[in-house]
Amino acid sequence: MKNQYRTQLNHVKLTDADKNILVYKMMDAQRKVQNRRKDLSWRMIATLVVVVCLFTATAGALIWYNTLSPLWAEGSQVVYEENKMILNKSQTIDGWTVTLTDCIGNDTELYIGVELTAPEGADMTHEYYFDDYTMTFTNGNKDRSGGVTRIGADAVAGNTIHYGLWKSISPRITRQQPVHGETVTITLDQLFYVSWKDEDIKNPNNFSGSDECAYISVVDKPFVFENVKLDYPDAGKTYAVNQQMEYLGGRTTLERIEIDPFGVTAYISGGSALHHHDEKRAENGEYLFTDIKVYGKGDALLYERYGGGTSSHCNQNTGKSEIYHKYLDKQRKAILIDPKEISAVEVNDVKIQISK
Amino acid sequence: MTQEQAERLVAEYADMVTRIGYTWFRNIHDAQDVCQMVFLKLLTTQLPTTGTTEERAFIIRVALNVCKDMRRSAWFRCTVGLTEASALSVELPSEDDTVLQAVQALPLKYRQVVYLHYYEGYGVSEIADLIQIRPALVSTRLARAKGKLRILLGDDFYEESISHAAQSCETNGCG
Repeated sequence: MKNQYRTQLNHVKLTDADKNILVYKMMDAQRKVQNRRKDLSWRMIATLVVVVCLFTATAGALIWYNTLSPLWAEGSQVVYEENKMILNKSQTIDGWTVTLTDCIGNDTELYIGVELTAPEGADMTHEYYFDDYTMTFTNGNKDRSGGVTRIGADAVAGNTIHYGLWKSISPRITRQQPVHGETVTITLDQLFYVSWKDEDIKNPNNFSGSDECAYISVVDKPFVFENVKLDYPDAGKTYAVNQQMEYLGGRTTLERIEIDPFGVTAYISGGSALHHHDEKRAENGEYLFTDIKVYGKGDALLYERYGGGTSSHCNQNTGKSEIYHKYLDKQRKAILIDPKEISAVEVNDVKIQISK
Repeated sequence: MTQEQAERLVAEYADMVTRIGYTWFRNIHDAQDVCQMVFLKLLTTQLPTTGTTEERAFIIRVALNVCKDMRRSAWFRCTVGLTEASALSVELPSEDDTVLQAVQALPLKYRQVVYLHYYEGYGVSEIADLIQIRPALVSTRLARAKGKLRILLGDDFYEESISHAAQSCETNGCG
């Protein structure tokens, strides 16, 4: 068995090409860290200017949060600052304070920053989590899609920990309730940490767990935030195109595109988009997607689809499809692009010039 | 870290780390994430002397800690949102993988010791040191894992596997 196990597990390995990618990523990460230490880039300075201006403009708004900033690659921070909305809603239970700091989103994605402040003397070596979350709309609809995860390697700073509440929004596809502009109640369920100690695993008083770990409750009451207005800026813009475009080996009509800081949505209909599953032209989901390039000033390439980050919805009988491309860089890290910086978008063989 | 150092680490340990991730998460996508995170962590870590058994054990420990961290966060992945395709691709077993699948069907605490003992060749006390549990518990887990594998693979297959492996060793000269 030993040798069969070894032989069969030997097949689980990285290809040589991927090992090269891994080395490249290591070197790239190291270079970025070194550069960050050396000086403040112009983008960071611009961020500071934006922050200072907003401080000045919003009298009384003395707290400014950047909780969600690590979610996007370097260079996205200015767009994040310009498109987020400060929430600053706090709740304290048993000495633990939870603050909804800020939010940012579009029609497809929503992110809410969450800051946990531990009481004096709390063991910060534990990794604290919220059991679940619920978003309740004024009409009574409830949504638990998505989750609450710790943000970045620097999530813990002193006695605070940063989390991101994220959800995908698919009102056109799954009839989920749109969230932009809505007033909701956000409930973060009990706070706990994970223990891998045998004595905790065997303790029946721990509220959940498995034979591998135990969940130790820290605050067994929910943190409830009422009247949270999700009025984050909507920087999205729609451009009518109505041109024939290469798609799945034929031609279809690219009706329009929507661009916002998170990505591009292409709307197509008819032609080769009709019956594309029945006719086996789009068996593999990847083939449904399109090539996308986004250009900035002087035709500088701001984004090119390298794979991933894409979702689509299609009705193959009407041939109508919506294809959303989330901006990712070569390392698959999400990026934000200011729509005002975009000069052109290329979808397959159609290039759309963006008029200012 | 120089590029040469990074290349050596990846060449020597990337497959091992991927296998540890695969053993923990039973799927290749998380194994890829583990691999990437471990090597990024190594950038800021003081490693033991190059090429020593201490270096190997150290990287296994880093990988196990990354797996633990990921498992905690993975608990929250209620739904999958916008898919971000993984950057790395992995070759998977394509032929007979009965034994591997049987091991992968075991609970994590057994998979982990089976991997460290049967694949990496660590002894009970070394495994105890790596995963920070008592040696007696390692022995118990190994014994129980064997028992479960005997049930999963069947007594005959289990014995046959050993004799087949022995033949294979004779042919291929494995230790």
